[in-house]
Amino acid sequence: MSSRLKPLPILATSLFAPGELTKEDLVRGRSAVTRLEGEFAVAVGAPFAADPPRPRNFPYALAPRGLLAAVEAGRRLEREEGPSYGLVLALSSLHSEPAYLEHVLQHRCDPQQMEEILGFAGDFPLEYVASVLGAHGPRARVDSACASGSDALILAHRWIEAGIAEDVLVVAAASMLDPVGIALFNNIHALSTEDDLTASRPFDRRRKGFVMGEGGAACWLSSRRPRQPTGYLCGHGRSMNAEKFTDMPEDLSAMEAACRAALAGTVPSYICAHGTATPGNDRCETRLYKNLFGERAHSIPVSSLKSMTGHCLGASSLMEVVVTLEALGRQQAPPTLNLHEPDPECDLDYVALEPRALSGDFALSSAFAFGGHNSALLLSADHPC
Amino acid sequence: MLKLADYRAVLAGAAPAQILDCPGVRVIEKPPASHAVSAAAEYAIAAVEELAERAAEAALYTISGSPGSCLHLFDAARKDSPDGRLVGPGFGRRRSRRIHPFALLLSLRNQVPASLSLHFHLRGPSLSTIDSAAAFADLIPAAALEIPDRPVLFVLSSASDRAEERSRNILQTGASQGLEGAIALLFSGDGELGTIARATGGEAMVLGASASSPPAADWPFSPCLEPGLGILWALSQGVPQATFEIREPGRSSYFSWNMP
Repeated sequence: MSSRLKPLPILATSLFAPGELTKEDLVRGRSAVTRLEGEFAVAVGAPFAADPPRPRNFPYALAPRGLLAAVEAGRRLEREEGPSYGLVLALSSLHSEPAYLEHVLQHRCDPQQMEEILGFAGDFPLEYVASVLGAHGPRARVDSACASGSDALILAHRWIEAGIAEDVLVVAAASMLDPVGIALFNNIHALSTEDDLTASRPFDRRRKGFVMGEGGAACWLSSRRPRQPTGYLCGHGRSMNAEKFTDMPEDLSAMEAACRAALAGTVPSYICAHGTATPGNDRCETRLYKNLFGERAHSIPVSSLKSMTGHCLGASSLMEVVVTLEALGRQQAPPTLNLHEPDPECDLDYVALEPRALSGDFALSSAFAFGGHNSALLLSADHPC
Repeated sequence: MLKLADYRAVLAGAAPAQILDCPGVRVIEKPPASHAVSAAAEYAIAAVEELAERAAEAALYTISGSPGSCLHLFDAARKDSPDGRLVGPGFGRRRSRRIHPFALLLSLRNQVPASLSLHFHLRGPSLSTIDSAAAFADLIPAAALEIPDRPVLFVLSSASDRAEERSRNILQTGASQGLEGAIALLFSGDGELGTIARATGGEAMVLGASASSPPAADWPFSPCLEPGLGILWALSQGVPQATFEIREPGRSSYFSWNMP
C-alpha cells in the first residue's frame, strides 16, 4: 500500500476564500469569521466577501451559488490556452440551496416549472464548469463530502498516471452557508452556536463545534513542465472507516492506512490538519498523528486553517492544499487562531495564534469526511528528488 | 482495461426485457421514503449483498444519481411559514428545527459509498462521483490502476423516478416513467466474464435518454445506470464485442466491451 509516487507538478493554484482572504492572509493568520445577518440558526460564519459573480450567459433563471463559486475559483486559476484539459469538479449537492428548495417545494409536480432549476441538475454543473474553463478531456464530479477536494486531486493524478490526460484542472467549491445549510448542520449539533467571532477554536479546550464557511479553490496538475511548478503532489492515500456515518471512529486503523499510503515512510515537517473544532474530530486527529509518528508527533507543527476560514466543507481540503503549498514555499506554518487554552487531550505542537517558521520539504494534508471517507496527501513545494 | 468477475443488479420500474434473463438481475418494488437511508443507498446495499464477501478488500468506485426525494423532510418546516416560503420570517430561530436531523444525511450525495462501507465493512480506497454516467468511461483507467493491489467494486445507483426528479425528467426527456436501482460490477485481475476499456469514439451503440436505435431506444430513462445496463445487455445477449456511447446532454463518452 505504501510506495512513493513519482511527484506530479502542480503548475498553478487559485483560491476563492471567505472574506476574500488570500493565500498570504491565511499563512499570516487572518480570519474571515463574521456575524451573520438574516434567518440563520447560528450567529457567526465565514462567508464570501461578495456573492460569486453570475456569468452573463448563464442559461437558467436560477443559478446555484455553489456552482458559481466553482466557476469563480476556476476563473482565477492562471493557465495556458491550448492543452486538452481534463476536469475533476469537487462540488457537493446543490439541492439544499434555498433557491432550489423554494422553487421545487412549490412546484414539485409541475414539469413545466422545472426549466428554472436545470442549472442544479444532472450533469449540467460539471459540463458548465468544463465549458467555461475549456476542459474537453476526461471529466467527473466528485462528492465525498469534506474529502471531496483531495479526492478530486487524487483522481486527477490517477488520470495523468493512466495516460488519459496530460493536464487536469481540479476545481472544488462549497457554499452551504445559507439558512438551510446552517439548519441542516445545526440540527445534528455539529456547529458552534456561540455569538463570538472567536468561535472557531480547533484543538482548544473550549471548542464547541465548527463554524460554517464557504469557499473554492483550483489547481492545475500537469505531466508536462511548461512552467515552474507551484508545488508537487508526492503521495496520496484513501480509505473508508466503515464504523460511523458522522462521528469519528474508535478504530483509527483505516485513517492510519490512508495517511501511511500518502506518506510512504516520509515524516512530514508540517501537518495541515482537518481540524474542524468539533470535540470528536480534534481528539481523534491528535490520536491519529501520535499513532503515525510516535514521539516524533510532538515535534511536528500542526495547524488548522478552519480557525480562519470556518469549515468550507467539500472545498476545504483543496483550499488547504493551496495554502499548504504557499506555507511550504514561504517556510512558514500558518497559525491556528483562537487556540488560547489547549485541550489536554490535544497535546501536539499546534501552531497557536501566530505563524511560525518551518524547516523542511514535506507536508501532510488530511481530510476526514462524513460517511467515513479518509483522504491524505503528501505535498512538497520543491521537487523532492 | 477492467476484467469483469461478477455482477448483480437490483432494479425498480420498467426494466428492459432483454436484460431480465441475465442471472443476478432482480426486479423489486420501489422502497418507500425513509428517514434513515436513501432509496439509492438501499438499492446499492441490495445489489452488493451477494458480492460483499468477494469485494471485502475492494476499492469502491461509485456513480450516484439522485438519492431519492428528500423534499418531504422540509415540509414540516415550511408548513407554518407566514409567507409560504421555507426560508421566511421565523425560519432561523424556530422553524429550521423542524427539519429532521436525518435530512442532512439523506441529502449527502456520498450516502451510497458510506452506506456500503458501513453495511459491508468496506475499508479500502473509495472514489465517490455523482450525476454523470459519462464519467464511467473516464473512471475505467483510474480504476484499472487499483487492480494490481485489489479488486474494484463499481456501483451505479439512482432513485430518480420520484417527485421533482420525475417532473424534471419529463421536462428534459419526455419520459414519464423512469428506471431506478443499482448495478454492482466487480472487477478483478482474473475476471472472466468480459472486459471493458475506455474508448475514444467510433461506431457505437448509444446509451442514454436520446438513444434512437437498439438496444436502448425503448429503454426507460435511467440516469447514471446506463453503462451498467449496457454491460448487462451484452452479457444477456452474448454479445462478443461492442462499443457503447454514453450520451448525456453535455457530452458523450465511450467504452468498449469484449467477451472472451
